[in-house]
Amino acid sequence: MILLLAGITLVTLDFRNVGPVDDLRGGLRDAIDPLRSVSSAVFDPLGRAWDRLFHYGELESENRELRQRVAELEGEALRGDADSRTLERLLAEVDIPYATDVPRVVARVVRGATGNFDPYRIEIDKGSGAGLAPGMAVVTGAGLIGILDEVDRSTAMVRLITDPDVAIGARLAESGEVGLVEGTGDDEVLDLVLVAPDTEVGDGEVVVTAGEAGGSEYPPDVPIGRARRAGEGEESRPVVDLAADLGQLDFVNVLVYEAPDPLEGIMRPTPPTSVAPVPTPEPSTTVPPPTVPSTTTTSTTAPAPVGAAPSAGSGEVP
Amino acid sequence: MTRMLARSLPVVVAVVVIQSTVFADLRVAGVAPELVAIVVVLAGLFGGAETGAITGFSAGLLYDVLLPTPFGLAAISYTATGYVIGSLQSGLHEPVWWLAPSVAAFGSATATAVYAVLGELLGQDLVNDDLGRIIVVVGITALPLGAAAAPLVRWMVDPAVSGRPARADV
Repeated sequence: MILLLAGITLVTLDFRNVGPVDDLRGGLRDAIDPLRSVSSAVFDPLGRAWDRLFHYGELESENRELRQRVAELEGEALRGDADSRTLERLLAEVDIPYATDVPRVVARVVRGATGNFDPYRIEIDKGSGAGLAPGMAVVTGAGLIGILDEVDRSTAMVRLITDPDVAIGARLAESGEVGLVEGTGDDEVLDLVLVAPDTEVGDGEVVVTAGEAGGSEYPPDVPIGRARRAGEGEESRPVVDLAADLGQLDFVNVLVYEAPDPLEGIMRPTPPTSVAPVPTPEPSTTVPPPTVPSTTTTSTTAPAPVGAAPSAGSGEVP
Repeated sequence: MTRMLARSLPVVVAVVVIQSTVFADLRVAGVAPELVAIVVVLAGLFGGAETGAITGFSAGLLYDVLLPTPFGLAAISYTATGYVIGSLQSGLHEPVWWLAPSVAAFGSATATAVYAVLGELLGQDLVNDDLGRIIVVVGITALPLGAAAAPLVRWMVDPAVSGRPARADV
């Protein structure tokens, strides 16, 4: 009974985002991380043998597809260059810089999700020691793949963009319309929720992050994928085909970017100079107790600013 | 009890480390075996309700450190499961060879279900279309793993049961 009560107490403290609980969790992860590194190094051959044994057919099939794709690409090299120039021209026409100057940290994906109930997280081998912080965008050469969730000293967890609880501010590169891309649980398709629902979505239109202009805290113009309409008639809805391949993640880049403070430069109003100034109370430092999320609602339906990212350690983020 | 706790600590840490590294990638039908739950269940089977609860709490808490769900959720789930399994073993005197793997299978599947249901009550989307498949695969994979882990857990709980004479507490 005592142990159960202790467990309930910990859950309650975690929901209230009590600082020492997060610190304890992070500290314990840092403490056992060396053991996990050793275990990974020792048992990695076992994992590869397992893959070869049970996924050999998939590897063969993938190999054939890759060979075919190489042959196609060799013949399409010129057209590929033209596509890149077209995209650059397109982005230039709408006054979008193609290459961002955001500092990047290269990290290796060391393992997938722990446990069976959260397949949308991966672990990378860089952490706060490399300047990483929760909420930073994670990309590959193809585009955005996720955001940093929990960051320890030498490792960090990445929440993939395909998580149904992730929503990121996005913009159609051609029309400029802004909205949200939301994970669907599918590795290849995201939902596109536009501020103006009647917007005409061009088939194959590039979708990029909206940046601070679109209310997002991620750097602007990071490719996400290409938009299209899924379904037919009145049931059709805009979706985004993800540019990055989440099944082949070995190395990723973390964009070390801090969104500018929207209140920067705005002066605080000066208090009135009355004869008898009323002493202002100390600002409350207590956090109002959050309500336990109802099982009938999800974080994706809760109103949130465009581009809002789930905060690390929040009880609402699974 | 003190000596049992001293034996349990390295076993629990090793199990959680292996669970989070080896079984993060070694999956069957996309489901990872729940080695932590297997050890907790077997600790209850061989050591009784109190041992099962203590092992469940400590292993579950360490496992919670690595999971994205609320801190303490696995601790509560495994404490309850370890205690219940331990309570059911009280009438057992002559264990048969198939008991450990079958209890490991049933217990780990139950622990997984309890974890999912409690998590759902706390606002996590754990009771979904995949839960049935997860529970079944966890149970099936616990059969060989339970048989393999049984000697270690038996030693962890009480070396005397493994055939070696128990040393008197100082």
